[in-house]
Amino acid sequence: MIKLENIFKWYQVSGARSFVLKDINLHIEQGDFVSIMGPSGSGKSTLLNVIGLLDEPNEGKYYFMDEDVLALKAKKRAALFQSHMGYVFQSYHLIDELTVYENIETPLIYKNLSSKERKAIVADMLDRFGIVGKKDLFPSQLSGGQQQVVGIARALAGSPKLLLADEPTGNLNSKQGEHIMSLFKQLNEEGVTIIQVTHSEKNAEYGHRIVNLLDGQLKDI
Amino acid sequence: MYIKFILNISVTMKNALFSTWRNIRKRKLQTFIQIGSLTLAFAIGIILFLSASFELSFDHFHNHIDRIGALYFQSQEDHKNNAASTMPIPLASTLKEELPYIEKATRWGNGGLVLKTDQKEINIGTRYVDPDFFSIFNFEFQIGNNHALDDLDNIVLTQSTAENLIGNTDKSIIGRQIEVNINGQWQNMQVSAILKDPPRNSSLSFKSLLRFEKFPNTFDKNSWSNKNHDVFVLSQTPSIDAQSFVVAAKSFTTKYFADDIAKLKRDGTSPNKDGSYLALSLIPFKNYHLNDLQIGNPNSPLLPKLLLGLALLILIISVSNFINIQLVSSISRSQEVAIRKTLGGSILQISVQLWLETLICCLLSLGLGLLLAWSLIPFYNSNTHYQLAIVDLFTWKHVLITLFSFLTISIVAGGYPALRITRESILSLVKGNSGIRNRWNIQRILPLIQFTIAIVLVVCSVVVVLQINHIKHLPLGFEKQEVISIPIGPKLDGNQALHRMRQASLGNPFIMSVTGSDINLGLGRDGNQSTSQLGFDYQGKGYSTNWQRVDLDYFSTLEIPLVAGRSFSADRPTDSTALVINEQMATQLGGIEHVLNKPLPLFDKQMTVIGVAKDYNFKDLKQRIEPLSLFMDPDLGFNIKYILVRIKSGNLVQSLQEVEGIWKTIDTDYKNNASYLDENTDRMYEQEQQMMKIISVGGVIAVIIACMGLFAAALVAISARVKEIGIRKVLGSSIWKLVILLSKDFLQIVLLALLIGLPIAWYLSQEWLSSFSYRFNFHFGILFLCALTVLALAAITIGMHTIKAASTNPVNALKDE
Repeated sequence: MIKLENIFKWYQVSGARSFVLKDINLHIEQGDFVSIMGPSGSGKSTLLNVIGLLDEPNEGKYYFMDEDVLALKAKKRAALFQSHMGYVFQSYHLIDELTVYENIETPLIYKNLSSKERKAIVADMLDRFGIVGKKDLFPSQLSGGQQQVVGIARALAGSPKLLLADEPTGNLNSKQGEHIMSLFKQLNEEGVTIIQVTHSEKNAEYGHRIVNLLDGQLKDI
Repeated sequence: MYIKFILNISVTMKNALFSTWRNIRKRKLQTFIQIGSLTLAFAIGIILFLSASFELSFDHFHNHIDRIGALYFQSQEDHKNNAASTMPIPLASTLKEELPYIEKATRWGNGGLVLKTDQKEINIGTRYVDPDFFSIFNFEFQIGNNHALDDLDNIVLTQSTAENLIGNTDKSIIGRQIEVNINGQWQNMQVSAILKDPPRNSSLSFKSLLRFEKFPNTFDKNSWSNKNHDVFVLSQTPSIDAQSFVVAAKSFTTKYFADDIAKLKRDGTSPNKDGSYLALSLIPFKNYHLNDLQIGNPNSPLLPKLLLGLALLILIISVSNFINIQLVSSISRSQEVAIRKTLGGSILQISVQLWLETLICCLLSLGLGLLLAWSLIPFYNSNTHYQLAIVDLFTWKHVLITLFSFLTISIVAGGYPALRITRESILSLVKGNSGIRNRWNIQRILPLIQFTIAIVLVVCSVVVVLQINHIKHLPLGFEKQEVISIPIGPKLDGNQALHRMRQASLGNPFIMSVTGSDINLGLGRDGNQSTSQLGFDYQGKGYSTNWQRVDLDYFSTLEIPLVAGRSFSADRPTDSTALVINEQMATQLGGIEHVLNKPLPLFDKQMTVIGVAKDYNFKDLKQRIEPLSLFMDPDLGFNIKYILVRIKSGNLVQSLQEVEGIWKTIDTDYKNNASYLDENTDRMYEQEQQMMKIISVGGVIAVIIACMGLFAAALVAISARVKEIGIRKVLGSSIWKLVILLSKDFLQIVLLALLIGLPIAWYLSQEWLSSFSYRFNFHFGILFLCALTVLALAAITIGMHTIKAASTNPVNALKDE
């Protein structure tokens, strides 16, 4: 599903290149559950952003479902992103001014779905994640764990094939974290490919495979 | 303690300077908008303030200004107040004798002179006054004293006239004999004093002064019905008052103007408020320059208010900008403020520090504004009648006003944002969710105010421009493009000059016809349009008419068609006592068939109406066409003063040269003052055109500053929504959807401003337009177009931001720290 070949990413710091990603080669199959691990500053988030099309490498090839993503035009790339990927953030990034219901609905609006279809999907999501009772609340009225559940529900509303999660449990206590991870596991069993960035060994264990990153380079264990 | 305080202040100042400089460098764009719009507003404010204070300073150099008054007669005509400042010759002296309220009085008559010494001859305007003139007014003597006009044959010159005529202004000039030509007659006169030139802010201006006894237009010195000059009086009381004067002069008026009053009564005019039919009233001289009675060529009393109002509005708009941007900056500085608070800084201390930074920005703007004003003033002067100089600002009074306004502005502009941010709690500041971000009511209200003002100014300036253009292009009822008008001047006899000009033009291929008139079309008689009013009785009822002395070929030269009857003819000697009247005159006398070929009793003569001419505008277009009688009798005392030459169409410049060439053979010291009539008619609307320029430039600047403000407000909102924009993009929103989302709020504000502003603008323009008799077709499409323009400008302004914000990479916005 995902094929990264010789990916480099660097910043120009006073004339010299400071590498964030160095010669990354990575294959991820459909249905996989990959945990990216590594110390702070090792380039985990950048790698995830490159995979999620939020960032571009300076060098290298990226094939997503056999398509050369970096050669695509911006519009097509955005369409690809919209239809196949969902993003979950460490600090949830819900829109403060919108209710839980509206937050989940937002990506569907951007996909130009009719209001009937949106209603059905949002209702399904609320039901699936057990947050029907909270649908009219605002993000500030929820606990961190609950907010992250909404964030995941929102990411999954567009029924993506790939779920990208950047430290999804980073701001949560252990009990909330466990709940989120079991959710991930369940989703993966239902067929969603998941790539998560995490610090915690315990959370990484939920995945099938662990990718270790150090100073921008992959380290096989 | 004291030293510590000083030290504290200086440290605070130093800190403020540094942090201001750092902030400027950090937020170049915002600071640029802040300082730029404030600079612009200061510059415009200074210029408008100087203009207004010039208007308000008129005549205040006279010591007794509170005691001086200008007389006028008040009556009701067609239910309208009618004010006429022309007075009969015996009035001034009689009033002084019979009314203890009046201590001094002087007559004031207009005229032209030729002055001659052995070396030089010059042509100047003069005023005819009484000896009291010098004790009423305070025109500064260079040489001489208040007794300068005690002798009948004395003449007083101004400095510039003396320099022009004699070449110097020595004491030796006094007593010098010069030859003076009044109305074609030479006489010897003696220079008795040199006056400094009247200051620019004097309503009364003159080049020389003569005794009123020399006034040429006096065919009966004892007549109480021939009115041809103004009268100024000085009251006994410490301040003059129109009401008490009217009461005091009531018996005087009924005694000497019994005939006029009887006529007014008989004709069924309504009485004045106090019950009298004709009241002798006065304008206190301090209001003389800005009266709305059209006496003495005044400016509208609204003008200074308009100038100051415009300045105030532009300042409000730009201060709103400043506050708005200051609030944004505060958000990004909340961390700094929080740290200062944890270090123990009180609300006041931190506010003062933030305010000091504003003060520095304001000072910078004031400096730049002064510089800008200084560089704009020459351009402004050349486009208006003002002669401003930036040094006018540095009088005590003006400096105090400027300082006061400046401090108010800087306190409002800096103090409010400083207090807002410092009063937030530390925790909310650190977390970055302070109320400022969410509760941005003020940031909606300020653009609302700005755009309401802007739309009002835009609509008003469009209306003014359209109306002035409408008037300029209205058909006046006579040919103005191919007719040249030549002023004859006081030296030549009008009738003879016209005769010679006609002879000289015969057979010239450029000239079609030549005629003459005693008034220059396009400008009233000496700027005063009421002098040509003449009352007469016809079939037992009183009427009034304007009159005009013309000559043969007048109607064909100006292409004024005759509706009935015929024009003056050289073949009929009786035409010298004939009249041609206009349609208005015929209508008021009962219709064309009632008056054609009937005699009318004008000027104590029976004058036969031989023709009726189509109405044409012999006054300015603010007024409807009034009744007019035209005659060519040279014996009534009204000389031809302007020669009108109709040229063959074609080369206008060459024709003018040709006509001037011929005229030079008749008038040897001709001064290049011939002009086409359309230039004359344009000159009539100079005051309106100036107002048009000032308002429309003000409108444009207001819109520019308001857009700058909107630009800044969009910056606030977007900086507060960076995260949301990022999320929405990650969730797959297209750029255009984001742009619409972000712009919507602002366009709503602008729409609301239009909703509030358009009715105000509509009301104001209707008020202004109602002072014109001829109005352009005010269409609501104009409001719609103005609104659309402002909306489009606002949309572009916001779009610049939103497109940029919507196109940025969301990764930067969503980084988890």
